[in-house]
Amino acid sequence: MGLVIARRLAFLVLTLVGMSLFVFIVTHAVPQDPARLVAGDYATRATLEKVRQDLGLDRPLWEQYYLYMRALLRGDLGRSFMSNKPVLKEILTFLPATIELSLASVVFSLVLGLGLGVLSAINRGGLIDHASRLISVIGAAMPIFWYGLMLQLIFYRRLGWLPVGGRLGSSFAAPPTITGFYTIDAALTGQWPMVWDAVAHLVLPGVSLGFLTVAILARITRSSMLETLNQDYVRTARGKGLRESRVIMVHALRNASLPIVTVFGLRLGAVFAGAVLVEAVFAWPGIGTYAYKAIEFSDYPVIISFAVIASLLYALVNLATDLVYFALDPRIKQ
Amino acid sequence: MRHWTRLITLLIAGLALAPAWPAAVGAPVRDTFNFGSITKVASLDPHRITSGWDQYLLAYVYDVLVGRKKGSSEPDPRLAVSWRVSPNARVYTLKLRERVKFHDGSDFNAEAVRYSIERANHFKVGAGWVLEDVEKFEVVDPATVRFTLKQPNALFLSWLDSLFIVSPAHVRKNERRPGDYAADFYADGANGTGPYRVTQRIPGDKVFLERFDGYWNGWQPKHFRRIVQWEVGEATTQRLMLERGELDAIRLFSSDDVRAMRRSADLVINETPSTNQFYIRLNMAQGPTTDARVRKALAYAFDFKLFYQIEDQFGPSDGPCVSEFMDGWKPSGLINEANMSRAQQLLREAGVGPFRITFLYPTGVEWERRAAEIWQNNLKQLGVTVDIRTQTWPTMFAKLVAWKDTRDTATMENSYGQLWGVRYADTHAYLNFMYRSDAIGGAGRNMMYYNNPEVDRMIDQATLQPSVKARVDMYKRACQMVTDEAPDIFVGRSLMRLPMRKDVKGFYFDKLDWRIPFHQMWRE
Amino acid sequence: MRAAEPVLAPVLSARRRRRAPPRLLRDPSFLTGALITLVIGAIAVAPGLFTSEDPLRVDGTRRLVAPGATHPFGTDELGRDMFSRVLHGARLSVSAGLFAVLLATTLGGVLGAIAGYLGGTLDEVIMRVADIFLGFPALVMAMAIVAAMGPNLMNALIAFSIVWWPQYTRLVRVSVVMAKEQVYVEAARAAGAPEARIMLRHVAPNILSPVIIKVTLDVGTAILLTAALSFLGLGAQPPTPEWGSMITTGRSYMLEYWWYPTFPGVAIFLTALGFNLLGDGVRDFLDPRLANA
Repeated sequence: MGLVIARRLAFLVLTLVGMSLFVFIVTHAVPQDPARLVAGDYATRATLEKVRQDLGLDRPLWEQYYLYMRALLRGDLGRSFMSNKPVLKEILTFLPATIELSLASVVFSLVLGLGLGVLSAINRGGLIDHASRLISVIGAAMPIFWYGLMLQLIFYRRLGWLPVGGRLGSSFAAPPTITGFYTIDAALTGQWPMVWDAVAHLVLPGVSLGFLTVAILARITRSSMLETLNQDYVRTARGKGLRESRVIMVHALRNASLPIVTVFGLRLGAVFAGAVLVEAVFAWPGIGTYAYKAIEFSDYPVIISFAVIASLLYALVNLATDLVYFALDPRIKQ
Repeated sequence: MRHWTRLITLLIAGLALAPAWPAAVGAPVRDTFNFGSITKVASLDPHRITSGWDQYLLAYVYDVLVGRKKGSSEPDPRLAVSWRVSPNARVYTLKLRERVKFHDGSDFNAEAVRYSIERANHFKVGAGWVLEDVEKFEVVDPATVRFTLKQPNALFLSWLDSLFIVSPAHVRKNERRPGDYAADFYADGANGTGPYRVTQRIPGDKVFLERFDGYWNGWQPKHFRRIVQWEVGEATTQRLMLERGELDAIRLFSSDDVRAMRRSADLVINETPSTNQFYIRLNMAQGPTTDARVRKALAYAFDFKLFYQIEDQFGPSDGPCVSEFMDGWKPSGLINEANMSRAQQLLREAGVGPFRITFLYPTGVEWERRAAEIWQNNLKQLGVTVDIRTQTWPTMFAKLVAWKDTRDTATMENSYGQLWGVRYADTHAYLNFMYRSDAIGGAGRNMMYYNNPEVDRMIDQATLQPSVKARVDMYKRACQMVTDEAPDIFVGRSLMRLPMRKDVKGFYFDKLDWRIPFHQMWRE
Repeated sequence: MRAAEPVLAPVLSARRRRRAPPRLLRDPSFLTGALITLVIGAIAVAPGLFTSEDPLRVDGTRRLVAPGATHPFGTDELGRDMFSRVLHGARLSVSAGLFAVLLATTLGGVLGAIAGYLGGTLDEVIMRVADIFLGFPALVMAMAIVAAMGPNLMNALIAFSIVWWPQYTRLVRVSVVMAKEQVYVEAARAAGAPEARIMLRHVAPNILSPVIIKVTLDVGTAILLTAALSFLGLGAQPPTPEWGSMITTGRSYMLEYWWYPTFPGVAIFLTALGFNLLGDGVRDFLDPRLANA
């Protein structure tokens, strides 16, 4: 077990290097000059040259890459061209926002996805089954910003129940940064109206982001459960006279969970990607928007750092998924 | 199944109780002004910002030495109360205002001006261009400063509007390393002499401003105490928030949205002609557009009327210059109406058969795309095919500038869309950046290689004229020359529009830009 | 070894493949899916049969007209007929989706088959490289690639294949490995059949089922991803009608002119639905254990 983790970590390092190289090459293929953006519209050519030198853009590519990686090993992710702030600091500002949003969507999609899937499996062929299949298909086929807009129109414009912009209303300044999650930070400092406001702001974007996962999770849960429900051990449990709900929740679901966990792990990565679109529609100050802007403006330090961090996170999620796997079914050998 | 029924009942009950939740949608707080910005704030550093939008926000946090009078291009005393300009427009002596304090309590004086110049020169970006021409700066006494320029420049005073003044004591106190001029602090915080302080900046999200009671120009009690700028990137979301009152004003560019918002009883659409103009620039160095007849034909093929109908924030263009700065004068012979038969005739005269041109516009600017599609549609009838392409503005800019060195026919762009507005109130701000032959790259926008030595000469001469009338005469000659050569399609001049809640009073437009005079506004 | 998604569990017995095809044609999911796909395919191939309006004709007098007799889907902000644009968009959007997926399938499938069948170091290497590509958010990677290569549809599709092939590699590899270990393959090998023959007759058919299912599911996703790229300004160039860019432009008209983004959205939805149902039907047919579900 320990050997497995060690191997995975070693491979992780390789992945990060490979990813950073790939992204470095791709972003430098763009015929763009970030120096001009830093220098501004009215800068003279002399100023441009000075800026180019300051940013190290006049050095050969391999040297730029080497310098960047060397700093990376010291934990220095460089400075963003656009804002001149340390990239690490900026990522730490924006990442919690996206993670908070993703977690909200995960909670939503887990509850609704698993719930619908289990209900469909039990209720095979019935109304709930067809309804949930319909929801699955719709969920998988409509663009994310579509739901976002629909939800905004219904719950904000029409009903006025839920807010649509940002993480907090304007009457609140941001809570002190402890975790970066507004909900938690506000709770930790006892500002309960702020907790409520933060949660309210999470609902619509979280639901928009999670809808596609609901669809996929419902399908997977349904088919996986169906497979399990037909198994011998389930019939045995029923035969022993156990309550139906216990049969489902404990025996069937537990054994059906492996593929669910796999797919879920895969979906987490996709959630990250979907976050870019949801962040745009709901003005969520997260890392998706940050990365997109950086790509648009060839902000190399940000792009490469983002690639590295994203790969790292994804690898950690994979590792966690595999550990859960292992815990659920010790028969699986690596 | 009982368990599920219970669950579902709980859910429905929860939803039914939802309206009882504490108001998630905030009602407007009387003394707070919320406004939405489509662009993200890059930095709050007065000497590093390169975006006009950030400058407008900081205009009420920091002060400049010399500003502009309300609604005009006349210089207005700010931190400088009076000034003397030498007859040859080379030496500027300014008398400074007394008893002015920064937000942190430190004093404003000549040393603050000197230090601000030093700081701006250290970074060189953003407003550094203001000081390019300065040969010498002297502190004459704690209340007087003097600029000596490298060469005569009648426009220098208007350039000072972009130079913000900071407090040396505060900068030094917040340096992380000696000599870094507190770059890290000033990216997210501020300390100026303006009417508002920055209380918090949440990057990518909001900026909070609060009234500074010690402001040198005083305060009206009912005016907005608190300003919140929201960075909402999505136009539809912004609009929804404005209609519900969560935002008090937004900057919107879609005319169809504005048309709909006019019908709302709670909103008012503030409008005024801006100094922004939109051009379709045509390649003067290579390709079919080097022939003036072809250029004019392309202009006659543009359906101006339809464009103004679809994008009603645009009206007819004034040509290479804007009439406000020219005593109302406009050049003759401006093409601003479609004429397909004339276009056909011109193409025949030029002797060209069917050809193909490319058009480049910056990604995301939808109205430029629509203009291109209208143009493309008409040109089809004349046998001209337009390849509409888009790229993000930085890529586009770099590509167009780089072509100067390669002159490679394969990578040539025949035309591109350029929106241009000015930072200072003089025709020089148009001619110098759009038509000067070497204005390519850097601050220049002459990426289609317009080249007329006469025009270059007149641009240079004009800055030497202290008399406005003499300058304007030169500009008239230059503008007429440019119009005759028709290097661009002068598509239109835009309005500045600010949809706002009706209960907000006191707003007025600045002549040149989009700044909102928060400290003069209040809610009824 | 990572488990494959259960909906894609490979067929384990050669016996079942000899069941009669007509069952497939009686499955309502499959029939609906096939019908939708055929109709959309017909529209994509010959939109001119269904409408005579020019999708590119600008007309200032009929801007943003609501759906009615003359314009069943209304008109856009330049007065172009939306019905015609949606129909003509079918060709572009559907072929884009198919092309992207097929590209990814071919590339990924071949690599996965090699990895699964040959095993050893080659397997390790291919899977590690696949993991590297999987470790990066697809949309962001696609954005970076398209930004570098220039925003047009072809580059977007190439970007997708670069981003997607690992999923197919994993899928095919798992199927190959599982099939390889089945009893009948051992039996065939013991009987002295050559490797290639084993690959073709026993292993290959077992890959088809999960791959086909995944392809049908992914076509919808591909079309949606194309729309997402258009959303970010990196997709098809004007004035080509493409569903994604129509939705993108249309979303700012959503409040007053609901039809603008709705009809292209419904088109994407129906296409994805059609392919999904098709896939469901095929899966149910190929793996009857789940078919009873």
